[in-house]
Amino acid sequence: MKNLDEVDKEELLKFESMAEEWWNPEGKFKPLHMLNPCRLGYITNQIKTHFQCKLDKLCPFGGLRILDIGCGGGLLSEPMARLGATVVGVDPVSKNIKVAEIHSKQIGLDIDYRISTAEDLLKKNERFDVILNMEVVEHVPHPERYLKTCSELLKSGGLMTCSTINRNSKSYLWAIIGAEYVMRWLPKHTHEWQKFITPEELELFLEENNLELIDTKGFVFSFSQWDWKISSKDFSVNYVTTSVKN
Amino acid sequence: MAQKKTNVVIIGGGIVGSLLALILGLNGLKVVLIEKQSLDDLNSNSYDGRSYALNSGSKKLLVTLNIWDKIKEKVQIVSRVLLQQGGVTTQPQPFHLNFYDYETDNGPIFYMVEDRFLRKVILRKVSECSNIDHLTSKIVQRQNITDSLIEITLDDMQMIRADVAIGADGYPSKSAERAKIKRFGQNYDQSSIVGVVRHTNSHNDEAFQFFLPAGPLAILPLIGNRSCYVWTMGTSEAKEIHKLDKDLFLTRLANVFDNRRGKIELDTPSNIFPISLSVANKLVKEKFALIGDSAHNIHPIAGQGLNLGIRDVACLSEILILARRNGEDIGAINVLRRYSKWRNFDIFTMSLFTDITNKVFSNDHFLLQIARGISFDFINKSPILKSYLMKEASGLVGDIPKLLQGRDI
Repeated sequence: MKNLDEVDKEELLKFESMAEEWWNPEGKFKPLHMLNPCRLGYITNQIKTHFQCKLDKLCPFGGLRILDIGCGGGLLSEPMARLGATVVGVDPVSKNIKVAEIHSKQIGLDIDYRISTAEDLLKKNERFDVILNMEVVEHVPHPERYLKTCSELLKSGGLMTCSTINRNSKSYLWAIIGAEYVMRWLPKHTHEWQKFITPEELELFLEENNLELIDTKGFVFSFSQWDWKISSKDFSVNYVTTSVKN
Repeated sequence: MAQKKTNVVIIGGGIVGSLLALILGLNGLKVVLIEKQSLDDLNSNSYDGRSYALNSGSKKLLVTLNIWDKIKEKVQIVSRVLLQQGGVTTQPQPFHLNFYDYETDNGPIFYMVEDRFLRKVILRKVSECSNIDHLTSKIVQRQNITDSLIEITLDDMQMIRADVAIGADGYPSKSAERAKIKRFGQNYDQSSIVGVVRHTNSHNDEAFQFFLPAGPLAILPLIGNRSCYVWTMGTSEAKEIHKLDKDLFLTRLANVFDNRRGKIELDTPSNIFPISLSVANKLVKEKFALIGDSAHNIHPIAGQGLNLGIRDVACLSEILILARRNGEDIGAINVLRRYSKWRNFDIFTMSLFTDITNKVFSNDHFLLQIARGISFDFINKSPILKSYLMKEASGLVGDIPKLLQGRDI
């Protein structure tokens, strides 16, 4: 049905079992629900600044076409739609798309969810003003090829936010040992440390694909406040970038 | 069945409910404000003497909403507060506690505003805000959650579906009951007699609180030569005094005023209110949050009830508006928990403070009398402690919401 060449089969199976848990803030996806406000704050700010959207309006993203890759249950797609954007959410896992569709209908948001991939959308000649590429690159087999596809999906002057996990000894301790084994925030084997990408590597991939890096921030977990914070200097584990297509 | 979809339903159109509606409406959210009283009753010129002691935090919120400007001629400032234990007397007492406005950083210690003036200005603002649908003479019959929204059914069978519902229906709160939120607290077996008197002498912007064995008596200045009294005592005694005919009541009242304001005359009939402590053990549930007295009904001993409610309004509105600007679902439990996390400590400490103060003062135990006297004296002579207490009472401590700093969200 779809061309899923670029998606690891094993990765697919891992997420099928978790799909129904997506919208339970206390369930398996609790860590993502905790990170989500922090991610959203970053994303909405970047979009508002780049497209000069009016902050005081309730639907400041009206007229923007946004692609959410690896949308899962729609944790980012729904907020974007609520802010007025035309949203396409894609995920290769059919169960996720089902969860996302049911939830968006209940809440009264119109979102175009598809069981699809970036490669697929490119074949259909789709183009977007904004691509949300959050916590995806560390799960694809060929990040550089994948980012090329993303770049081609962006309109000229379009914006892409891309978050992933740094590859160093600290990220092994935090993201693998800490998150999967000690805190058990994530199921074991959610991440492979070897697939993590350093900010330098990511910048290189982006620049090779005509994407100019305009911002990098870290997502840092504050144990004292028990919440995620945006850091302008600590990119040692989770970090996010914004780039613009020239 | 008529049905409509909105962002926020607010159950209860009193001061806190209306203020929340106004802030959310002005920031673009669609609000349905439900009030059981009729619009005529809300707009009536009735004058029952109900007044509020607003601190500088509450004032700042009203300034930001352009409400203060419309009532400022009707506001009485309080520049000195005298706290004294034992009988009411103009004779000097061995132990007392004075607070002066020059001991604060920001003008008067607090402001006295009458309900009849404040309510009307807020009501007008609400009617001018196109995002607020003000439903009066309506009673909520049911509230339940279906498909990620909360449904409120009214007595006329109208149904409203919303992202979130707010309980602002005062105490006892039916909306909290419907949400199955339990409460803790106790009945103090005290009641307050409240009213307004005219007097021949000027009040000089002074407020008094006398700690009598049966409960505190507060005498608070209002504009013109008038004062509001809040006279708290055991419920059975309060009922008896309240039942007295006008002249006898005035004699009793004049007795406790002890000529402090010259000759007094009743300006309004007196009202009687039972006093209890009742705090919701949860401020939020899925798609639901409590504000004001429906969340915390406390002892009036410190005059902090409405100020506490206004702080709820400032925090909740800021959280909902910022969440909506991020595109979040404002009814999601993880959004609403930011509100309870922000408010829990303040509500708990204020409930505890009023509870303990009442217990320590409302008795005539000999040793406690001496201990109270000495602590009054100690606080009175310690400028650091005094300025700390005044800052606490101003509501401007901790992580202050933007509206209480006089800033827009």
